[in-house]
Amino acid sequence: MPYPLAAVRNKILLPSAAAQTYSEKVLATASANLLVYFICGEASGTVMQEEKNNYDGLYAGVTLGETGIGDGNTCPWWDGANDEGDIYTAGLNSGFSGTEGTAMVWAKVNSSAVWTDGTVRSAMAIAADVNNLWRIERSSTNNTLNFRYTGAGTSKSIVVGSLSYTTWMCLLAKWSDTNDYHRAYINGSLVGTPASSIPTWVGALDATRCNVGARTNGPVDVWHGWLAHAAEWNTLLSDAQILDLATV
Amino acid sequence: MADWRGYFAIENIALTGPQKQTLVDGLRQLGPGNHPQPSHINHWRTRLDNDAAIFEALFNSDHLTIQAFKNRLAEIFSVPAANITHSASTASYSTGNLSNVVVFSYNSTARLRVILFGSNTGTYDQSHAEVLGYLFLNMGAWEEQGV
Repeated sequence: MPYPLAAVRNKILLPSAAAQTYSEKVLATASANLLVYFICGEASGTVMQEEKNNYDGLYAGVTLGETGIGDGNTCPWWDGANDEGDIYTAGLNSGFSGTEGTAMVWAKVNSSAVWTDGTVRSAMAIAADVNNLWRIERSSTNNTLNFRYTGAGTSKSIVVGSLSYTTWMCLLAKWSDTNDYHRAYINGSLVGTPASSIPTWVGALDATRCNVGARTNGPVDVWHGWLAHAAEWNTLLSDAQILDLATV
Repeated sequence: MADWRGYFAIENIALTGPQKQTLVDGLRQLGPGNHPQPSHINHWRTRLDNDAAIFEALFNSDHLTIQAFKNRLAEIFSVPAANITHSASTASYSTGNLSNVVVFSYNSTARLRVILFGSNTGTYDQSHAEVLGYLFLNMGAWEEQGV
């Protein structure tokens, strides 16, 4: 067992505010609607432990045991070349809602040079195909993140420029067909211009297009730096919850 | 034999589909089958046209010599290894670093290009810098831009 899963799960039964770890906080946030949560704190092995429903993923090529976000866990490092964290499972596919959801990943670039290297680098991606996708990526434009949502071939991306973080960023987006928006957050704050006229997602998830640290298996658009605490809820988190999740 | 952690690429020049697959299947077996670090277990990235791949692992350097590739190709073509010829050069994809580039030929036809990023004496960091430079230089072939 690469991570003491039982210890985390047992603690959450009676959460104590004073002693609550960051992982416990994530697990306790909209718990009934938390579909997947990858701490990414494994010490060894290729299993990417999923903490909520045992929808484990699979690492290829990452370097484990790197310094994490400050919550006591380590994290993996993606090399920007050929690493990936494949998170597709039948469970993710059946539970995922392209109609309404929230997804989060903590990300840190390898160095400031990543912001200007002209290369698309995906922090987290969940997609059915190129016409129905959700993704957070460092775009090919310098110092820019692209929070992508595309439904039925219509893109509703939120582009956020002038970024230069070399520290950890809590990246989060939520989308809602019902409430007609796609919103992006960095470190708990709303960023960019929320998108509206959200198109309806079509199709089941593609087994090659659900990744942490890459856009697709293969892998393509590999992240260069560190990632941790990737999660997806099939509900909308409140702004208060989002702010809370941005705090370790 | 020595352990060498780094990246190498193969680019198909004139191998048939089955020949390429035999080569790739063999190369995927290199490196340790198990290791605590996923980065040390052989993993690869395939170019969008499926005619090139980048491998990374903690390799036995004996498996990445020119002669080792000649032996593999000789087996694929069912000829003696002496019938496989090569042309070696160097390239640089990042500041201050070099990579070995070897083109292997059979019957006077170039068949395969192998790039050992950072060279077989380079450090992991040198190999990493070289592979990133190579990917940047060839971005159009390796990245699905804008999809």
